[in-house]
This record gives sequence, structure tokens and C-alpha cells, in this order.
Amino acid sequence: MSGQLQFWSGVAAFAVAGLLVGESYLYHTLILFFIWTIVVVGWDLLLGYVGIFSFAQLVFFAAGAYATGMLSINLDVPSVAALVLGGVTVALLGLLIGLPCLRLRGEYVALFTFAVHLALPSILIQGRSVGTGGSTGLMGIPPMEVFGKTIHTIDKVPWYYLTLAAAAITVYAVYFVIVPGRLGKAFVMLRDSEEFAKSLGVNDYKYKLIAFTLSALMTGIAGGLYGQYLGVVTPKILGNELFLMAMLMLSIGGLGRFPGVILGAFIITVGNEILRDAGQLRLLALGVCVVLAILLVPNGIIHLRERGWGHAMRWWKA
Amino acid sequence: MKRFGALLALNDLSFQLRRSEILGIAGPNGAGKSTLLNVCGGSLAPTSGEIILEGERVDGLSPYQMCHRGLGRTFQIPQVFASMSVGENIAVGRMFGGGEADATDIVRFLIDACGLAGRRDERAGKVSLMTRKMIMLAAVLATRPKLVFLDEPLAGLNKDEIQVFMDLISRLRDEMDLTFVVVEHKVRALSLLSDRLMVIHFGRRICLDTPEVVVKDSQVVDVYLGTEFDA
Ligand SMILES: Nc1ncnc2c1ncn2[C@@H]1O[C@H](COP(=O)(O)OP(=O)(O)OP(=O)(O)O)[C@@H](O)[C@H]1O
Ligand SMILES: [Mg+2]
Repeated sequence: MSGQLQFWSGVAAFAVAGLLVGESYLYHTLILFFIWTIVVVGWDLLLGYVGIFSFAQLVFFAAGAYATGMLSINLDVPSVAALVLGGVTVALLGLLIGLPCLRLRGEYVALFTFAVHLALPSILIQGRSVGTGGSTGLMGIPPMEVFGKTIHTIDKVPWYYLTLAAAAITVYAVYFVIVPGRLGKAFVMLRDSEEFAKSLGVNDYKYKLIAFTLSALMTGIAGGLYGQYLGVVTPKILGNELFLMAMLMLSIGGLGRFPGVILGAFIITVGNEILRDAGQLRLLALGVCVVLAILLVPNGIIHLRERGWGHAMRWWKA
Repeated sequence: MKRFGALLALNDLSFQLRRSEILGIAGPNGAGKSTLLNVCGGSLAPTSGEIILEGERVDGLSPYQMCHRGLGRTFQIPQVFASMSVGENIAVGRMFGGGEADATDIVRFLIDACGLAGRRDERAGKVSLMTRKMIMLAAVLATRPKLVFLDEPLAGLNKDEIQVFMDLISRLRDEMDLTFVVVEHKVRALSLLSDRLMVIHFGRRICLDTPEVVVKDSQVVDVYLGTEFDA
């Protein structure tokens, strides 16, 4: 099945499912899946296609939730405008984080971006004076308002379709517009052989900054939606649990190939809800899963089909 | 001049290129040949000195700018875009190389000239060494350079492949009006291919002349060729 066909049938299936689900809890799980889809697709663009080892993805997500929330709580910006402005703010943050990465080798990019991730919670906790809400975070982020209608957290069906639309637009833009186009070619060239790409006229700085900015933009908007949907955001958004979950989505799903990370996001959001009762053990289970996923399916399930199940099986037997 | 800390990798090395010539460069391992190409390709900035292309200074530009000025290069370790098809590898050279817009047919011409027509749809990561080198050459030429630096293009090839590659370079020089600088250890092949030959040693030029003269030069024989080379 071609990628386009897979995409449209997926969107159609979820659109129809939205009419049938009926169960609030299931809606909630799928809404989270749609939001996480945007996050991992943004990460896939940077890591899977450009080959930049950025671990600042949850920084963008958290910054989006905070920026959007702070704009509407502290400055009374209407919800849709706050979402857009929040996204733009995070895009600029992505550009800023991208700048030093231009001069760093891969492993140092990973260290630098992860350091930003580790530093952000304390900044948010210390930032009460600028309106971050300190360690309790932002309470009562105004809900989304479209066409004069307010969509509260409990309005699952509107949230379902809203986040489905946002995810569908992002996925389409990344895998069917950016990747096959000129940008995507430059990205893959830089990933496959940076030296060669540059010698063929690819402006490495320009394309890497574009990648950081685009990835941050979409992820920031996902964060904004997340905050508006839940109505709350705390520094815990940068905790180990969400980070491990996102890592797991990438490693189980597989980078640089539609619909790899999306499958990963689906498996993990659903799996996480199933494990909801396991409490503290869930974190441990997630960690073990990351390790197992990397060992058993080093390229993610998306690459199993072409290589057969041979690799995973060999590992199993060894 | 190029300095790495205390090491002078290129020391007072200067030369002029003539339009449409093939200049061969030889020299012992570590002589600074790849360093010279990295400086000319923009991967390294010279510590001092100038590079002038058609009257304009281009030293210190970044690699993509060098490419847009008409300076092409290949790498000692063959590079390709492994996840792309052979055809795409060459098409992206034209796409980003900043050549004229009317160069639509250049990709097809190069694919044919470099013997890649039958492999157009294969993944570039899976092809043989000779094919990798052909892809790298065709991609660079698709950027429409005026001047191309090749770093050990013949290394690892067998006798027949060397012949094919050398014939191709001569032919492309004529048909595309190119100037080539070819770094190579295979001096016998290089002296057949080149109009002039330069030998460098410890970053210094020790000889630059026609191949016939260079291979008889006593200093060249001393430091590089040894006595077994009789031309
Ligand atoms: N980035 C670098 N930093 C420090 N020293 C370097 C660097 N690159 C090259 N050198 C040194 O500069 C000298 C010239 O190296 P270069 O690679 O240019 O030699 P070469 O003539 O291409 O040799 P070969 O025939 O083995 O390819 C060597 O002594 C090498 O160790
Ligand atoms: Mg070399």
C-alpha cells in the first residue's frame, strides 16, 4: 500500500472511529495519541531525516504548553491566538537551540540539548515571577475556543477531532510535502553524508536551522494543545516518564520512515494506559522496554518488514 | 599555508592552474594532498594564503559556497547518499549545485557518460566501489563546476576500471570544458592522464612540470618514486 493511501485510510479510520468510540476514557487515550504523534513526527524530522541528535524535543513540548498557557493566563490572549503565538515562540526557541548545535559534533549536540532538557524544570520552578507558576505550574489554562464555542476537557469528541486534524495536517506536511521536496532532499543528504552534501552546494547551517525551527514549531503547538486540553501544566512535563515514553515511541516505531514513529506513538500511548494501574512500576517497565526495543528491533518495527523478522529472531535465539 | 598546531601541512605551496588542463598531484602519504583539497574545497580555511578563481578570491568560503562558485571536489573515502537511488544522487547535485536552470539534460548525460544508466534505480548504499566513485563524480559534475578536484579517484580500482575512469576524465574534460586537479598515488597512470604533474612533500612543492620531466627529476625520485621507477 502506498504511503498516501496508508495515510488517508488511517485518517478516515480514526474519523469514523470517533463516531463509534463512545467511551470517554478511550477518547482520552486517542487524543493523547494524536498529540504525541505530532511530537514524535517533529522529532523524526530532526533525528530521523536530518540526523541531528537532538534531545530537546520535550523542551519544545513543555515550552509550547507553558508559552500558550502563560499567554492566555497572564496576558489574556484568546486561546487560538495563544496557541499560534506559543508555537511561534517555540519555533524561535528551536532556532536558538539550533544555533550552537551547528558548530557541535553529533555527540555534543546530544549532550547540549539534553542539558537544556535537564535545566528547564529548575528554570520553570524558579520562574514564578515571570508567571510560570513555580513548582505548581500553570493551573486553569483557559480551554480552547473555536467559532465562539468553548471546548472543555470533558468535551471529548470535539477534542478528538481537533487533535486528529492537527496530527493529520502535521503528518501530511512532514511526510508528503517536506520529505519528498527540496527541503527533505537536503535533510537526507546531510544525514547520509554531511561532507558530500556540503560539497554539492547544500547550505548546511541554513537547512539545519530550518529543521530545528520547523520541528520546534510543530512540537510547540502540540504542547500548547496538550496544556489547553488538560487545563494544567507543571514542570513534571519534563519528568522521566514522558521522556522515556517519547524515546520508546521512536525506538519501537523506527526513525526516518512513514509511519514508523506514528505506530510507535500508538503502541506506547495505548500500552501506557493499559499499565496505568501499575503505578511506580510503570516507569521501570518503560525503562526496560526502551532497552529491549533498542536491542531487539534496533531500527524499529517499521524496518522489520523489509529485513524480515530474521534479525529480531536471531537476537531472541542468541 | 595550512597549519595544524605545530604541523605545517601546507608550507608555502603555490601553483597556478591553466584552463582546461589536467593537473596531477602526487606525493608520499601525509604530504598534505588531501589537506590541499580540503582547503580548496572550503572544508578547511587556510592559515594564510589566497585562492583565486577567475580573478576572485575564494579562500575561506564554506564548502557550499565553493560549490556555487564552480569548484567541485570528490573525497578520498568515496561518499554517496546511501539511502537515495543512484539517479537521485546525481539529481540532487544539479538541484543544489547552483548551476544554470537550463541544465536539465545534464543529469541524463552524466548518468549515461558515467555508465550508470542500468543502475539508476538501485540504492546507492549497495553498489560496488567503482560505482560509488562514478556516482560521486557524476554528482559533482551535475553541479556544473568549472574546476574539479579529485582525491585518489583510482585507489582500489583494478586495471580495467582504472582505464575506464581515466578515459572518462579525459573525455569529460573535453566535452564539458572542465579543469581537473587529480591527486593520485598511481603515478604511472597519473602521468598518462595529466598535462602537468606536481609532486609535494611535507607540504612543499618539490616539482611542477610536464610528467616526462617530473618523473626524471632527481629530487622526486629521491623522496617519492625511489629508484624502481623508470619512465
Ligand atoms: N585535521 C587535522 N588535524 C591535524 N593534523 C592533520 C589533520 N588533517 C591532516 N593532518 C596531518 O596533515 C598531514 C597531511 O595530511 P593529508 O591527509 O593531507 O595527507 P595526504 O597527502 O592526503 O596523504 P595520503 O596519501 O595518505 O592520503 C599529515 O601529517 C596528517 O596527519
Ligand atoms: Mg589523502
